[in-house]
Amino acid sequence: MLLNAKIRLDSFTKLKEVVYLKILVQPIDLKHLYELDNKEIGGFIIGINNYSIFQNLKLSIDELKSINISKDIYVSLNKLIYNSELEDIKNILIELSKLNIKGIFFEDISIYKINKDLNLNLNLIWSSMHLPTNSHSCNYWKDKGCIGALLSTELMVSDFINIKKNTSMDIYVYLYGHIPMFESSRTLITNYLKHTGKSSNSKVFYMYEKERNKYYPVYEEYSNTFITEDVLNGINVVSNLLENDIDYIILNSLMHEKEVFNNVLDEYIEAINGKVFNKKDVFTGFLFKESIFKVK
Amino acid sequence: MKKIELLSPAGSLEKVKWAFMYGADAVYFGGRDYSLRANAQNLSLDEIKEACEYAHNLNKKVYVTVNIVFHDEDFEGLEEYLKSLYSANVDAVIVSDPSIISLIKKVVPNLEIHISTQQSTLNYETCKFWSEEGAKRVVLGRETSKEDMISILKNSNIDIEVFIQGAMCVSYSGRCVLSNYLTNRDSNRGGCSQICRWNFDLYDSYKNKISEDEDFAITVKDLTLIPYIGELIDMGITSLKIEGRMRSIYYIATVLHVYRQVIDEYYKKGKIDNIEKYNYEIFRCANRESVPQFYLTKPGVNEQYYSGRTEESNKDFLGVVIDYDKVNKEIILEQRNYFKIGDEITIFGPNIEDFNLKVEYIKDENNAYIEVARHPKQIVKIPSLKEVYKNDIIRVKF
Repeated sequence: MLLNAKIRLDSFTKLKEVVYLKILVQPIDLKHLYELDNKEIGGFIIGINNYSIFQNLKLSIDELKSINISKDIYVSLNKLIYNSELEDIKNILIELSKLNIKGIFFEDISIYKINKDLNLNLNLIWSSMHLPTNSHSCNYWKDKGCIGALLSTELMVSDFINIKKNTSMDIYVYLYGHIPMFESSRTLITNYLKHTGKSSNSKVFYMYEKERNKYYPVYEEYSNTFITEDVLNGINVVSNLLENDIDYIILNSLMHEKEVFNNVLDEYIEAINGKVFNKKDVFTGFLFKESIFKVK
Repeated sequence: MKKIELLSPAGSLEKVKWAFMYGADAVYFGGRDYSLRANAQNLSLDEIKEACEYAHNLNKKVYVTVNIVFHDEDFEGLEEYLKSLYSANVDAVIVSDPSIISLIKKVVPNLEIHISTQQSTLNYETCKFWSEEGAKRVVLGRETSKEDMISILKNSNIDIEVFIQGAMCVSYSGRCVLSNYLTNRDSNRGGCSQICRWNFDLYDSYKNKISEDEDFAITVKDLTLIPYIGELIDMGITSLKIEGRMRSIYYIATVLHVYRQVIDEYYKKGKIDNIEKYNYEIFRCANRESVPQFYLTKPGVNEQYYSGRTEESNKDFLGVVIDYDKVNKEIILEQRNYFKIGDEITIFGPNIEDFNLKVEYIKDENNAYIEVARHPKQIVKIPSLKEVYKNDIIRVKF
């Protein structure tokens, strides 16, 4: 038995099920995906061209079809959808329903609606950016047939645990990678460069805020602008999540060198197999910090 | 055909009354909890009840925002609160978190539900979903274009509300947590600290500085759709929404006065004259440039602010009419900003045609002649042959 296996007992103390905390990886590219296929992970999250954000690897449906790996494949469709994209997204969902896709992370509710109306029976995971913050809403989507929820990164570890206790759907937690902070349907950098008559070939820029003395990565994709925080690293809480039945943790390679990311992944594999980490110099976002919303 | 609704923000009971006075068909505001403007004055339950009575006597409507993105601990007291809102006779609640819909269906099934713009609804399939969930109305994401609106109206059967005036989130609504990470204030629970209005330096991927003296900003100009009100009416939009629950009474009165005239003019004449005049009145009052944003095309370089834009406090608002002395033909007013003899002023209100006046003399409360009205809230008198009414507004003539 794997070290991370947990045995749940029902009221008659009979063996009910064996569950594992699984790692899902958002890989850098296809080569990286194949390289990691023999790792002790649950699967990969792959994007689809034009409809996936905060994601390195994005493919066409045909490219996705040609993937042949042993691990589960999840697809992230986490961009907001416009009317003009509905037909395209409908076709993508129909194609995905013919493949062996373990789950679809969705942002826009139209994806839920199309899946339901066309009886596609895709396994949907509610992952509207920053919105899955409570067990009631998780249960709302569970009642509608969704299999899981990717919780907001602005929650504390105690919130993750509490939500899991109060819902029977699978809970996914983003535990490693740059934290998405901002998503705009504007080309804010291009506009600035045009306005000032400057140019740059950079793909990723940095917004520097002097009071905090911090550089925030900012980039454009699909004529949208995205801003991210530092790299969240929740390795110290893996054992806690494991004990509290969180189902999946996600590691995102966005803006990472392969070697750095692979080292991180190896540590996380050690963590789910029982090694307890107590790293001091890691950014933990809101894992232990409560945000306020009312100035007293 | 049902006339389009003009929907005004109202951050307090006083503003509710001003909004209705200046032509709003409906108002929206938050209660003391569960609302996205946590630091606005907001209304107590007693005030909400009073607002509803006041509105319904005028055959107008009240919508209450319950639009935070809830955490588990926020649900405490929510059921009772929703029941209280229903008992207070609010006409609808504006919600963003879908679990609230389930709760409403369970405890107050007759309470009308509007889906907040925080959901960033941009397409008709999502509108159809909300309709099937029992929502009566969707407030569209501010990124929807005219084409999007037409398509949504054609392909779904839910009432549609769109923003026509005011500040905009730079991000998709609900998809920005800059405030959380930079100031520890939860934007989706009403704590937004408007990081999008800060200035930054911009560096390239090698950390070479591109900007100069923090001249990189992601601030955007305000939204205005004055020239397109006729189109919005014709396409079948249900409600035209103005942003600004934390804005002043002067702002609310001015913006409503303009849009009330624009809407009524379109219904009467089938066109809107003097668009430039209306635009300028809004510009002066908002103290920011307003543009159509996503309505016609995707915003670009001209819809964004960069460095060096400072918001000076607006001194246009000179006073509020308290009364009119018909015998002495004098306006009795409460001063808001400095003015003096010889100044040219404009007076507007819900029951008069706007008119201009030169201040011939100023008297204080004791009828002593003074040269200037310099004290806020000072009661003064100025001559006017035209009759004015309580709560008409006096401003600088543009």
